[in-house]
Amino acid sequence: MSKIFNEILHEWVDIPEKPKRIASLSSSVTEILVELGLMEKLVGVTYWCSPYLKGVEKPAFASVDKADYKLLEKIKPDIILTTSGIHRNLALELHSKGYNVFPIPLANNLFEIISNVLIIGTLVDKQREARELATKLSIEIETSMVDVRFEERPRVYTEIWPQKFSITFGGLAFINDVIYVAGGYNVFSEKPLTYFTADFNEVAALNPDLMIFIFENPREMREVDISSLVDIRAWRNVKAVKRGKIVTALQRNLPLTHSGPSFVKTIKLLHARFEELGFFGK
Amino acid sequence: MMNIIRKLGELMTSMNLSETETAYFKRFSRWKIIVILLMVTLVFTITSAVTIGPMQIPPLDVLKVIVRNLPLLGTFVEGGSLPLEEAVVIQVRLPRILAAAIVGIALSVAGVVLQGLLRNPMADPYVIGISAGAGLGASLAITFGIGFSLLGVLNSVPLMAFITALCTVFMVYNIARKGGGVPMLTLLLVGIAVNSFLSAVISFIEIVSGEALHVIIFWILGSFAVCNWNYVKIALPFVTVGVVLIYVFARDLNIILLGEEQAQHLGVDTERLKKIMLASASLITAAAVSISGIIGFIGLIIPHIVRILVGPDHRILIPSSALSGAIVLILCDTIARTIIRPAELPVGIITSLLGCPFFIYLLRERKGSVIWQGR
Repeated sequence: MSKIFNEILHEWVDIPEKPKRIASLSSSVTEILVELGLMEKLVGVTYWCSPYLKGVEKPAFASVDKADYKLLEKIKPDIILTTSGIHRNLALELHSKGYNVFPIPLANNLFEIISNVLIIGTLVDKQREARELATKLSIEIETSMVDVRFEERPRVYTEIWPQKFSITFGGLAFINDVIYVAGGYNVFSEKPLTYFTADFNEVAALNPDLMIFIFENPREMREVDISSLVDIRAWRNVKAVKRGKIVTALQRNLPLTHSGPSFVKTIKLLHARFEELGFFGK
Repeated sequence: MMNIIRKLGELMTSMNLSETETAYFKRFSRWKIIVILLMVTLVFTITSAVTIGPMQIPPLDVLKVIVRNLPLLGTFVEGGSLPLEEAVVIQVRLPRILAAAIVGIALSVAGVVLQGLLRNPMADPYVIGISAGAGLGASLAITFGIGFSLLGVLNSVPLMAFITALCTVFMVYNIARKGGGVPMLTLLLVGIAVNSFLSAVISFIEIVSGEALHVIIFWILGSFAVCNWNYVKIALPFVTVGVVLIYVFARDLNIILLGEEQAQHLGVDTERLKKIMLASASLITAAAVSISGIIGFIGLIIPHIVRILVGPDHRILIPSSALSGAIVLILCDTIARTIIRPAELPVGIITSLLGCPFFIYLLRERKGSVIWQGR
């Protein structure tokens, strides 16, 4: 066992040297663990991890802020890995109940995703595999980077879960990087914020070329009428609306909020959408 | 004025206010200008409307008559009395025009509330059954004489319309309620269903009404022809209280635009807000409909246009819509009472003639916004 001071928890945490039973509270951590070849050692995940388990079923023991302690008693993880941000309170709760929880920083940019791969690899005794994965991701970022002049980049406003939480993001969220590498530019890039709700007047003033709305599930996508949303927010004169450049997508199809290794696929998907919408080459 | 604002802006910047505070101050200054301009326009519209009619009265005489009848200020107006002009202005035209202003304010503000709560710009104050409820009460009072008069000054038609409108909303709300809350979509659907049902009942009453049929139809189409000071005195307190209460919650209405869950996370008691807003919107709409009949499209179109001009912030949207609604409805009523002089058109026909094409234009504008979906 090693004792490591975790700055997110502000506590010392016991870390087994070669953990045999690993649990994850975050879908990005789950994906990293699977990519490092630790599917067999993964004993517990959250309800949002299933897309990253490659068809394998694993017990889901937690949501964002609640854990099923009876299930946790059964799966007996040596270590629980998660990210900071929304999972922090649950991490603190689990730590106070005696579990070995190690939150890593929520990625603020694509390079921090790579950094998290290396941290997790070290924690789970898979350093070589983590180095290989990190190198692969670095190369993929570089090859995916779209060479577009700043003026040609579409200015993008993205909203996550419209009319449920209506969250957008600033310069400190890694989605900012995803949009930039894909060839766009987040209209709130210059705000030193991660996730926040935008002032509708400010969005109108920023006049984005493209609006993207990400929904959690098909029911919510059906229930929200984008035309009504645009009218009620007085966005009729925004360039994206006037030119009909509005995109709606399910989170599982365009996982912009997922900070795991599959961000490269997301970049390529987004870039393909930008091209389809005619933003480059005109 | 712009120089003053610019100088104040420079002063604010030199005081190292945050960017947000400076932006808010600039926006708030702009809001004040908008409201002042609208108030001036409303006063001008009222004065102009009072001068228009079969008897030509110069604007100056109109102003003299109005000011002379104001408490305290009346003694400062010089000149001889104008008994005929005074009777026309004070007893005939002014109460009607003020009633139009009150109804315009009520319908516009109720429209803002319903569009905000439902997060749907196609909503209007009548979606929750108020119009059909009021129509039923008026039809019963006109055809069968059901009802009572209030203090001998207000007859049964507006009172019955008011009572049945509120009863209908109460019924719609309770049918739509699920557990501790009211899903807005369910409220909308129940409102549509109740509207249809009550419209069928009204149609039946029209069939058996005999000679009263034209009275019912005229009432349902909406008109200020019979409005006197009693109507104004009865409607004004309800509309004033309702509008002020709605404005107090303007910030919460802004937050609920983000979605009910987000609003809850930000500390808004969404169910309480919905109850208060629905009750207030229903109260002011019922008060309006009881004195004017059913005037369509004001509550739908005015908030929509004003939102395009001033933005979605309810702190400016509510007062701007109120004043704009008053101005537009006074203009519509002026057209209604002069266009086929000496006869009058119901003002609801004018608002429908103007509102319908605009509504169709809105629907067409909304098509084809989303070009890539959900793959």
